[in-house]
Amino acid sequence: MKKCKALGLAFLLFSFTVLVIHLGITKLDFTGPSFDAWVNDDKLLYSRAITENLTATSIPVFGSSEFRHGRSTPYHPAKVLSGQPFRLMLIGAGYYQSLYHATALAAMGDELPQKQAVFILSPQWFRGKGVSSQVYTSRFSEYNYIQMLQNPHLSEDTKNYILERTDKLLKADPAMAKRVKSYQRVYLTKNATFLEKLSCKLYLAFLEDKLMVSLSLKALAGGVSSQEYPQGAPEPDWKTLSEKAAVDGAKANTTNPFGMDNGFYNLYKNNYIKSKKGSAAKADYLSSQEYGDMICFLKVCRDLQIRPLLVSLPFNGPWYDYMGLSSDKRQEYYEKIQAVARDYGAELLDLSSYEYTPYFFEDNTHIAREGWVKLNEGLYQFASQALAE
Amino acid sequence: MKGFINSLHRLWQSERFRFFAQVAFFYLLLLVFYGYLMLANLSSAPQFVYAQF
Repeated sequence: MKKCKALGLAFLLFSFTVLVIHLGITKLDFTGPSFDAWVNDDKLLYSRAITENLTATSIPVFGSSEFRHGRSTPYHPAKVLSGQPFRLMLIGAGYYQSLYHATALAAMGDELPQKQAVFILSPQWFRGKGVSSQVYTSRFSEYNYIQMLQNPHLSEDTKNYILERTDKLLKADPAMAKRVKSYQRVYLTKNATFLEKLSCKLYLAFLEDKLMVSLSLKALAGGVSSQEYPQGAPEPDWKTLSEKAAVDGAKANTTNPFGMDNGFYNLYKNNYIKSKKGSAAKADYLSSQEYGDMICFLKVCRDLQIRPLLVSLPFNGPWYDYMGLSSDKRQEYYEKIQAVARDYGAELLDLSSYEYTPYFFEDNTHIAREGWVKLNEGLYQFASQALAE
Repeated sequence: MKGFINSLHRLWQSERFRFFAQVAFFYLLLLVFYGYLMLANLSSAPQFVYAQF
């Protein structure tokens, strides 16, 4: 009996503690350059964390693994474009592809202060069938999905596309697929039972607390905090940056014809690199479902009246020659991206002509040095024009 | 040291002290469980390993 009383009192104290934590972390204030450039899954799973840390001149930049690869270099946009009047909120990490970004934009699009968005396309996304179920489930955000369902400005056509693709891609995670069906009944078709609505709301409350606590602790551990933005930087000197990139690149790449940094090439030269010769000869980059997902992103932009900039990153020319993917086939891919941009009225920063540019890449796929200089220049032009309008 | 141990022993004889020690024990247990729920990766998605190539 005394143990029951002790447990009861402990539970009361515990409930009070949880309530204090729940009421204490109501706002995620990390506004500043460190959060903008932070590459972290918790940030990507919780669109509210992003929208609460946007400023009046923030522009979201959706991409993938290039954000993590470049961050320790002086060429990363967070460094090169620091001090500009616009702020670039980087959203993405490895394997976050078009459908994730379309859903995330649909979740947060109404709260973007600047109705512009940048979308960096990696050619690797478009190989074969596009994003696999296993990859998508590992990157899927329930919170963003629910916000997307509740966005009244999204057209039925766009919403249905996201629903159908998500249902198909969540096959690798039946528990999540079941929850997603429940969310559709609660938030979209509104034909959920009372118990379903209640359990959904309780689960969502738990999920939000979990995301807030986890993100707050990881931000603390990662040194991410609210900071003043540097101000008053002039337009970067692109010519000087390119010259520096050439000098740095010449030191980093002395061992191989693929433009890969020495460390990367030496690590993989005796296994993966050897085995990849001719492996992409029959690869298909033109029929992927990823095109439909990318078009969905552009449709979200259209529905929410957001002006998009598509960035078409190039293939690493020497590497893909070695892999057997002909330049004609690569050109067909670039032309398909150009056609989509034209059809949907999107601006296009086309970097396809840089396939063979020295020091553009650091490995088989990721841009480096000169690649960042060219990308940053394009981002600068787009963002500056956006603010001027 | 002996005096300290004797003090602890006398404290433990107290029913009230034992009760609040139990409360503290259960409270910490619940906090550990809460910490696990907040910080553990509870995703049901199959594990995916990032592949460079």
